[in-house]
Amino acid sequence: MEQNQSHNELNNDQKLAEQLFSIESLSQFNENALETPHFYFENFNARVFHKMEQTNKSKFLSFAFPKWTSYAVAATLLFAIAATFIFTNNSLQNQTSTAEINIQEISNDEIETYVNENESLTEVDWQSELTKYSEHNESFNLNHDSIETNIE
Amino acid sequence: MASDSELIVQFQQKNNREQAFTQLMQKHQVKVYHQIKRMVLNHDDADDVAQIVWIKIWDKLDGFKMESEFSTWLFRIAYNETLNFIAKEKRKSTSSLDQDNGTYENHSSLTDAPKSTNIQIQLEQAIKQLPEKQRFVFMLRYFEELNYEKIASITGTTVGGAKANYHQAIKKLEEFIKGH
Repeated sequence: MEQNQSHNELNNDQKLAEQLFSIESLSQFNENALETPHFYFENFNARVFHKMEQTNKSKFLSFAFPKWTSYAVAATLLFAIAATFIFTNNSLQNQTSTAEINIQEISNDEIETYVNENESLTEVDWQSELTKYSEHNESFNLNHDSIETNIE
Repeated sequence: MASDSELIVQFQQKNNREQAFTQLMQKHQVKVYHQIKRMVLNHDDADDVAQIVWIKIWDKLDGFKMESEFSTWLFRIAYNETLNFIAKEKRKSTSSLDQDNGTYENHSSLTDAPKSTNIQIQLEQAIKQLPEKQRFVFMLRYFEELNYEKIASITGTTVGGAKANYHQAIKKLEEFIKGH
């Protein structure tokens, strides 16, 4: 009973369409729409499995190397370069300031002591020292004429 | 041949999954393809969508709880994937050449068919201008002869909604004929 009612309802609905278009044109539309290349369905499952493999591979790749990987690599490289630059720059600054600190750390007394101890070196009369030396060693005559004679 | 539920259990128990899935495909592939082809009207597009549908089925079949018929679930996925495809094509066509009227111009194989007559072309154009949901309901009702309960489950609407969609489609087809 219910099945009959359902069948009648379907018939009525189909008739509505058939009042607009002939049954032939509707069935022709359907036939054309359902045309498939020869043997299309025979290897359909093989193509689905093949596509599945390809999709899984690309899924694996996208999982292993997500889109943001390139950005992460670039950011890491940038960070490494920046860190190296900053570190190098800081260490140079540290060396300079260490030297400055070392000089500053020397007390005035120490400096004065050093200068006093080495005062003789700065005030040496080199001319008299050379004269003394030439007197002791006659062969060592460093006057202007002797030098010229030796050169000639 | 084993029933759908037997094959699904076999698949879910990981017992010859590929074999069980192949059998499910062989049972339903023609109807799925036809459902899609009537909507996209082009073989290559229908083939692409059909493959995507079966890959989705493979991915989701473990979670299928058999609360509804497998075929209803399968056709619903096919329905959603077809709508996704049409929406993508519409976006492509509106962003490229087809800006005249902003409608989806699919590459129909029907108008190129040697059997096509003026009436055929007019029918195809009339069906193509229907909104997707109405077109889908019209196809499922007229050609697949499905009852409204099943159509409602596939399209995610109520029985009343599905009936309304069919009658609105008829009305729009009539208006199209009067206008041409």
